[in-house]
This record gives sequence, structure tokens and C-alpha cells, in this order.
Amino acid sequence: MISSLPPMMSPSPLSHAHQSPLSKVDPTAPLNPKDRLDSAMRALELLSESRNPRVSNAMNALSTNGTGRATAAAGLDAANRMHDLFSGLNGAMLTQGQPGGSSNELLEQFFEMLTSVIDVSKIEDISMVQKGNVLVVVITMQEGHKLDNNPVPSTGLDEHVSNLKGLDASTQEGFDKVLDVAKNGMEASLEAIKTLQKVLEMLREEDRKAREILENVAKEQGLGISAVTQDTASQFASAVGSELGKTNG
Amino acid sequence: MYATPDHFSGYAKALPIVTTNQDRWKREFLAAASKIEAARGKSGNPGALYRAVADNQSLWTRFANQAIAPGSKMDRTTKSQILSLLSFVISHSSKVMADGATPQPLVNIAVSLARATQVQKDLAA
Repeated sequence: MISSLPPMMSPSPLSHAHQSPLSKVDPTAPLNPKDRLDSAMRALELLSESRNPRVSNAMNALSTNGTGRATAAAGLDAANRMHDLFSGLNGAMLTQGQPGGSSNELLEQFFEMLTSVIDVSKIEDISMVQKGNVLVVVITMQEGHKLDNNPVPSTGLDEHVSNLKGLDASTQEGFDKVLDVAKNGMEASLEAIKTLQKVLEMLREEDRKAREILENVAKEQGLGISAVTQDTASQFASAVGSELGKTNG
Repeated sequence: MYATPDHFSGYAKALPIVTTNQDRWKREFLAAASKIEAARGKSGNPGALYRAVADNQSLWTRFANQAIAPGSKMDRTTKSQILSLLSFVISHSSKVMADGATPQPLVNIAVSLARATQVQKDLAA
């Protein structure tokens, strides 16, 4: 009966979760070389294996739709483009009629940026009205689709862009509102960029640790690690494959 | 000129199930390459690419672990090459995930290794 097991035999599901893979790689630990090698390589495996769920979890938390399809790199890219979009909108607002750009050019730039962050195939209709020095943009998406096609939740593209809808920018109030949309959009995208950069920093740190472990393993085994580049990687792989074919591993 | 992954994308499924180490690794590397190739085509689902890249890195770690384990028949030069490749795979996987680098080198490595294994096996047969 399980209940008759002494307490110390009860497995703790958290006992491994709290143990850093790196903690297993201790050069001063009283292990023989084989055990140390096993531990080091296991630590490398753990780092690899833990990457995927950790990234997925991080990105699930960041994703608006909860599907987890977002990734740090894609999210950062989208956030950057979002920032460009709202910067462009802001720029268009402020430079309209000024030397350095006609309204058509600015409009073109704005929509180029907009279409880079939304799923254009789901757009039902786009209409624009220029009032005074402000462009009013109305984007109608196909039924059941939203503007957001990016993995950056906090930017709220849908909300920001729809806030432009129906504004009469020839009035001071309308003009101010459009500027607010641009400003809020830029701030939201900057926040998203910061968040995603932290995820990327975490990834880089993990890789740094993984390579450090690898170097320790190589040193202990008396093996060298050569610099491999994209150009030489396939040659290395072919050499390894040949040896694998000869020795059967 | 590196192997064109398109030419090998169907290999993983076509390979028979065998029990030798070399065939198992070859099959796993081709499957990893196919998975990366398939995932990179899904522009609306970048997460699939990152999962594929992470799985490929995990595969390389297991491969390296076995290659340098006591009792491995591989010579020291090959062991060093494997660790060097693993270091590159870790580094480049990070670039794919964090910097949007192309995963093509990872595919090329897997396909080159699998192809060379098969060529050597055929020569020995």
C-alpha cells in the first residue's frame, strides 16, 4: 500500500523542479569522471529540453489569443513594426503639409506599415477621409476577424486603430484624439518590445550557460572545440556522418 | 554547394525502421531537418519553427552525449567535431529564435550528416 511507505520514500514532484540543471555540474563534487561527464551531459540535455516549454510558457503568457503561436522573436519583430506604424502615424500627423513629404507619400507609408502588422487578406474594406491636416482611417475587417495579427498583446492594435474611426480631425478635439492614438500606440509597442527583449535575454543567457557546460565537458574529456561557421558546418557534419557510418556509433 | 533540403524532405518517412545506431541517428536527423523545413513554411505559426529548432538542439545533445560516452567507438577527432557542431547548433539555434536568423544551416548539418552516414554505410556494404 502506498500509504504504508515511509515518508522519505514518497517522491516529491518539486524536488527536481527546483534543482537547476547547472547545479549538477560541480567540478568539486566527489564524483568519478564518468559520473561527472554523465551529469554534465544530462545538464545540457535538461537545458535543451527545458527551453521549449519555458519559451512556450513565456509566450503563451504574452499571447493575446492564448494559442501560444507567438514567439519572442516574432513578437519583437511585430512590436517593432507596431512602433514604426504609430511613429509613422504620428509623423504623418505632424508633418502633413510640411516640406519633406506629400500627404500621399505619408499615407502610403502609413498603410505600408499597417499592412505589415495585420492580416491584409482579412480586410473587407479600407476608406480614408482627409479632413484638414488629419487623415481619418476606417478599416473594416471581414466578419469574425480582428485587426490583430501579431503576437504582441499589450499593443492592442485593434483598439488603437479603431479609435481613429470616425474622428473629425478638422476640429482641435479630433486632431488631439488622433495624436493620442499615435502616442498610446507607440507607448504600448515600446512596452511590448521591452517585455519581449527580456524573454530574449533569458534565452541568450541559457545559451551562454549551455556553451559553458559544453566547454567544461570538452576540457574534462581532453577534447577541443573548434570554431564552426555556417560555411564549415556541413563539412564537419559530413565528416561526423562518415565516421558514424563506419563505426555504427 | 550544400545539399538541398527539399531533395531530402521525404527521407525521414521513407526510411525503414532499423535497429542499428547509425540508422537510428540518421533517421532522427532527417526527421529533425524535415520538421524544421515544414515549420519554416508556416509563416503564421512561428512557434512551430522554434519548437523544431529546440527539438533539433535536444537531438544534438543526445547524440553528443552518446558519442563521447565511455565505450563509444568514435575517434577523438570525431568527438571533437561533434562537440564543435553542438556548440554551433546551440549558438545558431539561439540566433534563429532571438534574431530571426535562417534555420537553413541547421537543416544543412542534419542532411549532410545523414547523407554521409548513408554513403559510408553503402561503401562498407
